[in-house]
Amino acid sequence: MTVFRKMLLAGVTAVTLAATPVVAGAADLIAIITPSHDNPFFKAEAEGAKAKAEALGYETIVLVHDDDANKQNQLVDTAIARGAKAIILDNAGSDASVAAVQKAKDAKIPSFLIDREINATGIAVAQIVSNNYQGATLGAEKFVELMGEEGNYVELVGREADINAGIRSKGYHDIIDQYPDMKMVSRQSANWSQTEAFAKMESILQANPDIKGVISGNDTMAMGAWAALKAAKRTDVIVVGFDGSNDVRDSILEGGIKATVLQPAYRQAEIAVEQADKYLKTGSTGEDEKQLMDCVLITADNAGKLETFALKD
Amino acid sequence: MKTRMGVLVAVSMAGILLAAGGCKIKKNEPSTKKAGDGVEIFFDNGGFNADEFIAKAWSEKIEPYFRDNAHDFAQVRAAIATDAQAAGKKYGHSENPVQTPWSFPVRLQGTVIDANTTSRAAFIAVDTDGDGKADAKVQLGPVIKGTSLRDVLPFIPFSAFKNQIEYANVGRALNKYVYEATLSKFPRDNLVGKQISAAGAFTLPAPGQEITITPAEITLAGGAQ
Repeated sequence: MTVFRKMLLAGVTAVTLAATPVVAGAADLIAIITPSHDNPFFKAEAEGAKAKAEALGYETIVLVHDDDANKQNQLVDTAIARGAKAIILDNAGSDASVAAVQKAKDAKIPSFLIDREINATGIAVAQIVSNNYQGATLGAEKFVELMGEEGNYVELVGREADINAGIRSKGYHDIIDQYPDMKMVSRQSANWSQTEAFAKMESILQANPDIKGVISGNDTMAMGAWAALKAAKRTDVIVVGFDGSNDVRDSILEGGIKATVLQPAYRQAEIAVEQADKYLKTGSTGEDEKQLMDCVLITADNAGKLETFALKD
Repeated sequence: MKTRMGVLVAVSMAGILLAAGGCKIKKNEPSTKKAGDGVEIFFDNGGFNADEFIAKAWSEKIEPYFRDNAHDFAQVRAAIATDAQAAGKKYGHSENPVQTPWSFPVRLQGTVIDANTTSRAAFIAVDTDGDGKADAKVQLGPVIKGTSLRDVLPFIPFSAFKNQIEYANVGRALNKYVYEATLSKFPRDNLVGKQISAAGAFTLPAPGQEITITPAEITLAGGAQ
């Protein structure tokens, strides 16, 4: 293991040394680091960033940290070693990632955060995030309306170290808890995972067969819950998700899941690259560090216009 | 220029935050707080009191802002119909128009032509130009949708807060303040046909969608309130 790591490090160093003179004069490199592409949301943002960066004449390196802060740390080292000019990052934890972004800054590499904030300012150049709270209140308002302002429901929460799990849950409860006849019978984390949500939903259904709705912190968990509900012949249950994935779009169009909330992931990644490009050329993005992008409610009315985390006009 | 103003606002806001909430100490572990019904919200650590922040800002800045800056609703509506982006620049506010829709501070008078006060998200529909058709919904709460009141205020930017949760708390605290101070006292019965006068804010809806105003103040004509 140690030997292997040493060899790897030596390899990276050798590549860097060998590459440096060649790269000088070649296109500048932008590193794009996101969670696993198993979730189409992260795949879309990586693709959006890559396409925009290449269109602007950069080379790209696309890496995934799998929501592991240690791995993220190593990837930042890789970006530094490769001489990246900027990092586009969807981070691996709102507190745990502060050190990684600081390390890049210390190496004079500006970071442009997308999707998730870190709990610190002045370290990243930009933090462009979806207005998760606004989006969650849109989803919750629709959920309450579909429920007729009453009934038993379940909440599936995302990964607890991710601030977006907290903010979405807060947005849901800030709306739903104002309706006294809405009764939450179970609230569990399924860690953003479809398989975990399937298993959790199965056991929740056994304990609480009398549920009327499920509100989920993201679309992959909503898909897992919906699969479990289908298997239990409970397609009467109202499910609302968050993200705006093509899977949930298709389910909405088939009359399955009732609604979701679109985060403009693809455009957000493009904007981050545009700001990185401007920053590298002029020394400023011209924008505040922390920036919010509004989300859009998706129902059967507009689901047909949704494609890869963007609404067509 | 815009950025520099933003920074100035952020710095002054930070001063207010410190005064209102005391020193904030960053923790390494996600801290949690029990919400109203006992639900734990990660990262919502209670180190910042949004209600106190709003109570202080209301009389110093927010109420004067609507008093001095609310535009005539008919004027704004006509400008939006012509060119929404131009209307936004002239009458509205957005922290970043590419990413966040414009919000507009407006003042309106009109006749209530429809009312739904059975939903907890109660509203009235108001005709402002006498054509018998609703020109805007006005929210009465207690459930107030959206954060238009917060989003229209140029002196409450997202950048001034530690994260989205604090910013969200400010939006919610402002809605709650308006409900408790004003909307909860507004009559709920036999509203259709009555004249109302209100000042508040709305966020530019998607094309073809109705305008929903969140009032900062509202009265029934004839001094009924």
